[in-house]
Amino acid sequence: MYRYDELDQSLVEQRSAEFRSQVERRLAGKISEAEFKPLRLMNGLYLQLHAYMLRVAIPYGVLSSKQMTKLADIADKYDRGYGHFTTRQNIQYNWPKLIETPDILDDLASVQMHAIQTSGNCIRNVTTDPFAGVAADEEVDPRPLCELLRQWSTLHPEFAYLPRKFKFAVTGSAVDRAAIKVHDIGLRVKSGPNDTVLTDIWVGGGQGRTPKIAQLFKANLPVEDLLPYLEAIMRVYNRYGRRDNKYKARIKILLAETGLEALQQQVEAEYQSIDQTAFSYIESEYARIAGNLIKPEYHTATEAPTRTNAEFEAWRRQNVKPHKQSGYAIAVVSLKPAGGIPGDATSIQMRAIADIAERYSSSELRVTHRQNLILPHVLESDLFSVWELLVKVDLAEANIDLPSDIIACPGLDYCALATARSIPIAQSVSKKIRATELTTDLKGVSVNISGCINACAHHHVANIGVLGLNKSGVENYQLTLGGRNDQNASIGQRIGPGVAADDVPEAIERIVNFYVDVREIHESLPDTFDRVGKEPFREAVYG
Amino acid sequence: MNEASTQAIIIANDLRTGRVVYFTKESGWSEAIDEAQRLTDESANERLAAATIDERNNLVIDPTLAQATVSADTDRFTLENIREQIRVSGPTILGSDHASTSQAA
Ligand code: SF4
Repeated sequence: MYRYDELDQSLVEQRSAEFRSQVERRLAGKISEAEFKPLRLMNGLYLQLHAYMLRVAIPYGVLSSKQMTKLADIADKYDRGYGHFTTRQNIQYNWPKLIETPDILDDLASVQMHAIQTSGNCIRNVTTDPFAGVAADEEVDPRPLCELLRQWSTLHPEFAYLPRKFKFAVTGSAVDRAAIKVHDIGLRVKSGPNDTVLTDIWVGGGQGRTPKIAQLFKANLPVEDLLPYLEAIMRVYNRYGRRDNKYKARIKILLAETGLEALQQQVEAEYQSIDQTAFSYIESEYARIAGNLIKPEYHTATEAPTRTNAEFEAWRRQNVKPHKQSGYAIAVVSLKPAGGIPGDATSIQMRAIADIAERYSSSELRVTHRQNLILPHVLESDLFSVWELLVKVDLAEANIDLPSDIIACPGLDYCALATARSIPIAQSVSKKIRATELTTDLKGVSVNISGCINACAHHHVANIGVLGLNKSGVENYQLTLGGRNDQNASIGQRIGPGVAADDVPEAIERIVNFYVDVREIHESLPDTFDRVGKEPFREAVYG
Repeated sequence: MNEASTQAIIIANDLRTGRVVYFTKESGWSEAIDEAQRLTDESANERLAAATIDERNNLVIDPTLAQATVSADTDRFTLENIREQIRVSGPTILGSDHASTSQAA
């Protein structure tokens, strides 16, 4: 992971002190709520249904054991003993008090963490492949670029008030685990000739009420030229992005309204006008960052693990992924126990996993956009010991990439924007589907549940998407099928009228059973959907 | 059987804590739903105006009226909107100790 320096430390400390003074002025009545709201949002503090909610940034999803322990301490000291990991690889606390938030920010700053740019119309926390730097199939480690983007976008004076929020995702593998095609800008880093690093820039992806798959905007750009090029895209968006209608303010709409070629020309013209010498530092900075990544000391392969049992083998099959270093493995820790709350972890679990990471994973953890955690550097011979420790704190559910590994947003149980609940639906669905997935091969079938059209749970690109709506005062759930969130990203199609909350688990089971009945060998659910069409699936659900 | 009637309560968030609070008969704020003043159509807007003063005084955020149906037989008070029901009762998450209801319940 990246080693932060004094500059980073002083920035988070200054920001924390600044927010303390803003809160004091608000409590003393010197500024109104209308004046204070944008200030608190810039520090990740929302007001939700029951309380404030604090969203803490986890830059590109990488955490140290020490940071995770601090997050657990904060959960106990200021909240209700748990946190919620999000699809943006961040963590949210659901019950902080305004009067205590400055202290929380101080505590976060003590481990170089903060809540800057986790809200508001700015460039948000950059996300990436949770297996960055360790995946066996990786071409280029995306973390140096993520860190470069973090430094470039943090408090960037030109991009603090964009037409709308702006999200970047980066991948360094051909297999896209970062969903780059449904972000405002998705970057694919790859290796070029003579050890160069090139980037493909995908623009205009997004979810929400107008889901779009990003288009390839610029291919094979040398990484040294990337920041001025991104600066050009951001400037054009900042200038022409619509500010008159928040539903049309994202870059995906600008791209759709302007057209790919015309927007490319505008960006190119802007790029030419940028003083490139101002970016001459990139090459050396990229190298400095890459050199400042704390690399674990890998040992040469040790003896094969001797202990095993059936449950461990099931967990290993489902949750352990290949590592680029021989003798090592990536262990994915499911935060989706059947019937549990997707993405939630108690402070006890957070501390336990921080300890496990310290002992067995070079003190490093990752957060995935599927709301799970990762131990990225585990010796294969330690896997059994790791699994035993996970079992003790209920973190050993063997369901990664199965339907019960549901992404769900907080929905109407917490979120002020929600139209329906997501979490209880996810709980009922995972309970019901778990029995089926234990006896049938359902690997890769994804179920995502959003509590409103903002689509924070990425339901549009799930194999089975569930969108909670409010129909005449009653929660109602729209089902979409055939979405994909990988390198072949596609938007799911609605298959029929919405169903009642109680009927969602049954409807999903029917979809899954029908898919199992008609699929061809190794055929994914969206591929089956594309082959047989909507009608047979519709028939299976609605009879 | 008598007809059900409608009443309202005023809900806001406490500025300092963010917790859900209810406007009381004494023109104060309580985290206990039982202490919420039940308002008829005639009194609702006048009381909302009084509650809004506390927003200007930096005590609460966004006081709003939440409509409820009251059964004439049992006097059972049911908020009409599911959003407000959840706001009052706390998260509805199944079988979890996370789901401790809000302070108000
Ligand atoms: S999808 Fe809607 S309900 Fe869910 S977290 Fe996002 S805004 Fe809230």
